[in-house]
Amino acid sequence: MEDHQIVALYWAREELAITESAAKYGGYCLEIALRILAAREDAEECVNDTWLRAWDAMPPHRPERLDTFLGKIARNLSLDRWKRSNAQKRGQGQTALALAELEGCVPSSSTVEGTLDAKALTECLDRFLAELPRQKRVLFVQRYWYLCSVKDIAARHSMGESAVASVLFRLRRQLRDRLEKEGFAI
Amino acid sequence: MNGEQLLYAVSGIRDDFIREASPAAPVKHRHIRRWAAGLAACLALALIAVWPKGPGSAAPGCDGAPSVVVDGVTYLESGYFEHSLECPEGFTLAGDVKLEGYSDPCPYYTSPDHPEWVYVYQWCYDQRTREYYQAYVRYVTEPLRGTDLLRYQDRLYIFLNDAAYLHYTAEVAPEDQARYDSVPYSAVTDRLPSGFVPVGNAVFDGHDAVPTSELGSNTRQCRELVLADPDQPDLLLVRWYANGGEAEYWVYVRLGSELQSS
Repeated sequence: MEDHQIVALYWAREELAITESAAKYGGYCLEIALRILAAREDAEECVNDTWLRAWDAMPPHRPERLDTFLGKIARNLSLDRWKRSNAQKRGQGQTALALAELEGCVPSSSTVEGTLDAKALTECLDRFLAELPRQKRVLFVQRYWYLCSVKDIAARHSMGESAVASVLFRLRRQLRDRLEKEGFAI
Repeated sequence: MNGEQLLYAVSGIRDDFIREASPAAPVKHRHIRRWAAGLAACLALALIAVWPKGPGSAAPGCDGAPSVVVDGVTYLESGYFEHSLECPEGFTLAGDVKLEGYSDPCPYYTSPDHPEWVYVYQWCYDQRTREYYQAYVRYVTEPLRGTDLLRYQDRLYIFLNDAAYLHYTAEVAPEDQARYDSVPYSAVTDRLPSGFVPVGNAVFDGHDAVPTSELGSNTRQCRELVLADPDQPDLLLVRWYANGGEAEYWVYVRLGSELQSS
């Protein structure tokens, strides 16, 4: 079934929308959740919650791209769950590693207490990514959106792990400079 | 701000960035039994000295993307993973090409109307259904792959950021490089420079294409506004609203002959 037909089912409040979403994007969302959460049952629960969130969101939303719309929901739900379950035991899995790496992007003068415009931050990230050569952008997004391991990324791009780690290191440093330049050192 | 806020902010990045990085890309077909793979390796060793060279051969892509070489030209797999189950219209079988990871050469297809593309019939893997299938996968000439182009008044313009990387994949004439280097703006600017006025809306001519329509683009799908300045005929701007926020302007510079030579 085409994406626009599935979206139309959500708008018509047809439960078939959930069945079709699960059939078409269940695997995609599960892959995203599994990279964030270690336990398969937790990941599957987040994917099931994804359809319910999508049900609540459509209408009023009419996403142009259903795959990334559902993927974003699955990612955020999985991060929420990871945050809850790992509050006491940080330091495991790709999420913890990616988080530790991104901490290095935070300008040194930042404070947790400072107010932050999340939308502005995402827009800054978009600008940063738009100006990168495609291959570097893909590496960044695979690491920090999909939370793929450095090893997976290296294999996918026929690169050495150290080469990938080095590119990511430089990108994080560029991002830190960009965030500072755009005033995110609140 | 902390790393966690940054990790969440990454969730909201542009859909096309998420799509282009999707791990659901075609992979080499690995369902080969060990004994068959061993036999193939022995046969390859035995035949390598006498096997006639076909019109195409495998080569590693400059940026790690799968690639093929046909008649001396390197084609990289489309960054958009453009593929179809049916042979694309106008393309006909031109020979076999060796793809890394395959024991047998794969058939490839060309069209005189699109010398910038070849299609290879190969195995792909669908990460969502977790099934292998065969499809015609588009490969694109190196300088064109991922290059953001716009046509205006019969001239091609290239996104300034892509122009900075063009010399890695194509011969850039000194006068063209000088023109790219002398653009007084950054690739994306928040403020509209004075003198630029709207000239129409972008028309999407398809991914990986060299645009042929007036205001044709190979990336812009939302009829974005194009602006030009009669006093700066080498530059164009495209207005873009990132995530529905403030307008920003993407800068394009007149392209030299790099794509013709590819």
